[in-house]
Amino acid sequence: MILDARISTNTNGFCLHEIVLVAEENQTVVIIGPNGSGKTTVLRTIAGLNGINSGLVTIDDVEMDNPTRSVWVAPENRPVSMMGQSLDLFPHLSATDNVAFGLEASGVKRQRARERANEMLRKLEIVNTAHRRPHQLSGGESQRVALARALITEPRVLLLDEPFSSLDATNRPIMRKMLREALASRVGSSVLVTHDPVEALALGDLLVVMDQGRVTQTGTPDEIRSHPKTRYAADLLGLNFLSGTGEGDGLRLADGTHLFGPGEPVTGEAYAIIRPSAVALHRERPEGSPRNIWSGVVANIEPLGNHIRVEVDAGFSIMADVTISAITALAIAPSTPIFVSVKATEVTIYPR
Amino acid sequence: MIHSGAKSKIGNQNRVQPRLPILVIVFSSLAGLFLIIPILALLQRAPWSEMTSLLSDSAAIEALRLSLVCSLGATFIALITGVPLAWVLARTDFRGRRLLRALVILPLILPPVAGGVALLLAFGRRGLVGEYLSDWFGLQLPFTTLGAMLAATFVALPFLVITVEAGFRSIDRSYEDAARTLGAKPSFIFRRITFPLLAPSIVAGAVLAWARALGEFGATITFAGSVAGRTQTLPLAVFFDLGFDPERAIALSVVLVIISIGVLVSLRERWLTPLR
Repeated sequence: MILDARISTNTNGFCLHEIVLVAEENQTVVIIGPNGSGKTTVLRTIAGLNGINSGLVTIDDVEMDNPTRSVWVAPENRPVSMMGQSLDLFPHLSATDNVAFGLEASGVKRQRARERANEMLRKLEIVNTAHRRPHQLSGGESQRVALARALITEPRVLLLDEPFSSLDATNRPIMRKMLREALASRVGSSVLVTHDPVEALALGDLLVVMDQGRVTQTGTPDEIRSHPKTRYAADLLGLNFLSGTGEGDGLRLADGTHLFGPGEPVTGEAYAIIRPSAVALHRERPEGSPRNIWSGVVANIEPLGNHIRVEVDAGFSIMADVTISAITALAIAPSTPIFVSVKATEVTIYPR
Repeated sequence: MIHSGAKSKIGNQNRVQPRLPILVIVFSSLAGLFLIIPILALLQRAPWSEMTSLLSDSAAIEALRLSLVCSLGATFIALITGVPLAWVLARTDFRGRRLLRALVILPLILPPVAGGVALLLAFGRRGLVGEYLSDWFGLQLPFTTLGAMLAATFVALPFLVITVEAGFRSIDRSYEDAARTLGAKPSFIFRRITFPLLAPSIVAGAVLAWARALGEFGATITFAGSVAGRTQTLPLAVFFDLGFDPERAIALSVVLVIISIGVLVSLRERWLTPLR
């Protein structure tokens, strides 16, 4: 285990409640959560830029923060480096000198530091930017220079705060691929903050879902994909998320509706997820096999790529993904009365 | 892709100028003329042909020399003490910081004569501190060149402090945070990041402070008097020459105007381009 952080803070009215974050050798931990959930504060705390009220932060079993023993290691003495959301490239230095900064700070001679910085720029395929200042770099180039600057000191823990936030949609996949390669070829662990589920699932070995200063779920991408524990996590994955009490082989929802599950008996508090593409819509009450049939009204219609997402209010909210031709055939508009059907086998139920 | 700055420029090119209200035209013309006419009058009355002989007079040279010594000395003192003070004001938070800031800025708006009286009461022979300076170190400030230099410092220092403080504040703290996480110690960060980013503000603050020190009159005459060759700087010389040698007073004034224009030109980036 490289990084072990157990953090509780209360600074400037902003709280982190017993955040637990553990990263093994060569592991990338992704913190995902809505804006204001405290993700950046966690990174700043690990970097030593923010203090903690209680808890413990260790890197390679060396204490970085331990308030009970008044231990606090200054940021410059921690084996970390951080790439901030705004990149913070030094405006008066060339790309090479930006990258060389960390080496020079640790006493490497300028000439040698510059050579190694240029090597790193070459590795990230931006050696052509070596002499340029930050204001002469494109968004993607700035991103790579900032990454190079953070990588060159070979930190034990690399902290990345929304590394792609300033990129447009076409550049993101390229940068994601580059970052994945850079992280894979590195010794040490990385902590990445994002609110983009694609990034989280693509880069994370372990996901930590945060909300309002708390960790609401920790797990591998597969665990979170199959068993999201919060509406936020389910929303990220684009899944219908229902909670209720086990009854027979299904779930009794808060409004009294019974949701039939695939067959195994369910007891106690439980969650259910349903893929929106497994939800069908009908103008007339459907005959036949689906066991879950509810009536409701269309609440919202939203185009989503090559299909349309229809939100139906059936006492609870449920989303259905349908084709554009289906919308026309069903003559759906907001407030249209509608029937919703879901096969019991398409419902996944798991305990809370 | 059109950069947003470029876009607004394109918009401005074709914008129709709105017609100005007549009162705006009248009063803006009055203000402009009021500020420009005195300078023109001075330049028009200047004895250009005798300029060199008037200024090569030993008394004039002495006043010019004293002015340079006092103003440059004041600028130097302002730099070595004002930059750290600006740092404290911009980057720390303690009880009474706002009060300290207000007191530091006070000499900006305080009538210099009152400043001179205050300096006298502090550093005069019988002053609060002056008594000890005199008893312990035999240091006399009133009516000395050092006193004139301190009077100039008193009025000039706040210009440097507020300019450099604004400079500190304009540097994003996240640069320094980034530098720390890259393993840089505070002194290294100051040398390689903060200082280079701060340099333009320090230069601007120093030029402003120097210009203010050069023109200093009220505090100097009150605290240091007008002793030719010791405390009689250019502005004092102009004032006392006006009675019996107006030609020389005008010549010296022209020198001051030329220096001011030089300051303006050197800071044009900062002042002549509004809200960059």
